[in-house]
Amino acid sequence: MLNKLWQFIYQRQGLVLLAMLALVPIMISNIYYLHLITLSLIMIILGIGLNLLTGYAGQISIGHAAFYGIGAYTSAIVTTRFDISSWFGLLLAGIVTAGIGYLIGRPTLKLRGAYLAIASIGIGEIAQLVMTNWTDMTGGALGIKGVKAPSLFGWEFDSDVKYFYLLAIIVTLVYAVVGRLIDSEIGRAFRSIKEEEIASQFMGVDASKLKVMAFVISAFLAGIAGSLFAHLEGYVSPYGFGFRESIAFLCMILAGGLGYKTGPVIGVLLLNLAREGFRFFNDYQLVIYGLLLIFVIVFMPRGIAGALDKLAVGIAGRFTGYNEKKRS
Amino acid sequence: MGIGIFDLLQVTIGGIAMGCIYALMAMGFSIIYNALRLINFAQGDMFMLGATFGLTFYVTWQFSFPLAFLGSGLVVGLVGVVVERCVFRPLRFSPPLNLIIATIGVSITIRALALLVWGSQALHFPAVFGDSPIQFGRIVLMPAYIWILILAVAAMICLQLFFTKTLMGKSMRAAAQNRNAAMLMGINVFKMDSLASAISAGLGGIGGILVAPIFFVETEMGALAGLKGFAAAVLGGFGSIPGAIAGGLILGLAENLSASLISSVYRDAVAFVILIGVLLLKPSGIMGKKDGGIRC
Repeated sequence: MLNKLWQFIYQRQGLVLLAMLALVPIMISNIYYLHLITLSLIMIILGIGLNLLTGYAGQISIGHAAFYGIGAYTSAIVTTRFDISSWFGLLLAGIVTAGIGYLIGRPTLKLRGAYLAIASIGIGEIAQLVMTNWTDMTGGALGIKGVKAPSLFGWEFDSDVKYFYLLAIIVTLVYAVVGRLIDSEIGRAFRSIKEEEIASQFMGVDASKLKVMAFVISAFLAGIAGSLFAHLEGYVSPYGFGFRESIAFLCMILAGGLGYKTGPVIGVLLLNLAREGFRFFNDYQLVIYGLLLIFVIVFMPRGIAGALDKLAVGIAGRFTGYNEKKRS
Repeated sequence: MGIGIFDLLQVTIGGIAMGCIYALMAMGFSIIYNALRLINFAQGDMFMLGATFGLTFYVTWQFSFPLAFLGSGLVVGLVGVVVERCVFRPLRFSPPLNLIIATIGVSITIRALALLVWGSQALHFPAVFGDSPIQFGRIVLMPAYIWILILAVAAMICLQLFFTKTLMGKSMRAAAQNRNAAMLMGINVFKMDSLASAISAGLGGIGGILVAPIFFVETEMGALAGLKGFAAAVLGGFGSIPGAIAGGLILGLAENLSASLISSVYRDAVAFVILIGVLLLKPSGIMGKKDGGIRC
């Protein structure tokens, strides 16, 4: 009975996630916390893409905040200047970032090694400088005001609760689609590249093509997340899309657990809430945050999802005689 | 507007001086990479610590400048040892992303601690090298740039002598080349790791105190400087010491020349455009090993 229930939950993770999300606005009435969770949902979209790239295909991008920012600006610029539907802005944001991802990924991912990581740092810095200095287009340091909330059939997603439900649906969709991709043949190919690139090429996997594919998908998702961010806040400025934010995204998926589907969800929620919780420590907030990060990496190298997985297997092993060491 | 040959010369010398700073940073990246195979994103914060400790020693404690210069280099080197012992050593066999994030964790922690000690205000470092420009014929130069050149080159020569003439320097190079073989020859490779971390942090610290009289001292000053030093290291060939010097000088020159000839708005972008250009055209850098590349 319990077994069946567990199986159902495992197979319908998306539905379970949606059901859990549907309850959130009912349970949390505080607008501030709801806004925080809405923002977290946007980051989860980005995190799912980044986890696909890093956790499954084994490539590191230290410039994903740039794609997030480019997505936000693309959407903000086209919707405020040309009075185009936000949905089109959303799509365009994804297409533009995916295109940029392709242009960077194609040459750097041909090589083995940390070249994408390095190139992405460069892209991140250049993107931020362009956002700050290309005043005609981006409004410079002042940013762009008056980005409209999206609407559907005359129904406007203008309040936090409405926007939350919109995001809940999008997050669930992204989670389910990327989940299917991970379980497919392509997902297995990604993992084989991460484990041993040369061997996987030997087995007929077109490693460079698949790495580019993973990067383009993650850039696309980051762009969409950026666009959703712009429409939520109604305002974009060049701050919040820099090196620090790129790192924060990496920390989130790492703390959550790389290569676990639930990793980005756990990591984003945990780190956002942790930062909120540490506000109490005032000046020491960042010190604790940094130390905690080091602590997690030293003692939980596979993140929270990894630690939970190990714990669950350990408990199950008590009853069934299953040995963790035999597993891997 | 016309830019004469003398203006160009002046800009070039300024560029070389800044290039020396980038070279120090890039050498720091390369030395720790050779020993520990990690890209240390806390390097920029060592640069910041050099400047802030220098400020404390020189202004608050009234040390003489040479003493403050050496003192801040040593103290920052000590910070490097502590970081290596407490964070990098336990993570020796971790996957690359974990290592990168760990160095970033170190960076966040150091920056936050520095914020507690020195505050968020930009602090003024007195112009120790004098603030009246010196004239050489038709070239006018700030003395600070000349001193940066002299001291940075002196540091590089000392380091070169250390690596080629002393037993310890030779052991360090041996450990970087082949860790197991070095261990078999009786070299304490863990000591070499600590030393590498100390030297690379110290180089960053020296860079920091050298630029302190030109720029303001603040806890965020390391962020951009660190990334530019990293770009210089990639340009020269990651892991190569002569490459790091060449990369730093080229970067400093390119930055200053483009700022005066083209536009100063995108001055900070030059480093990163070069970074991406190198990855597209010659990913191993100017003097990197052909097969090598960055494996972190």
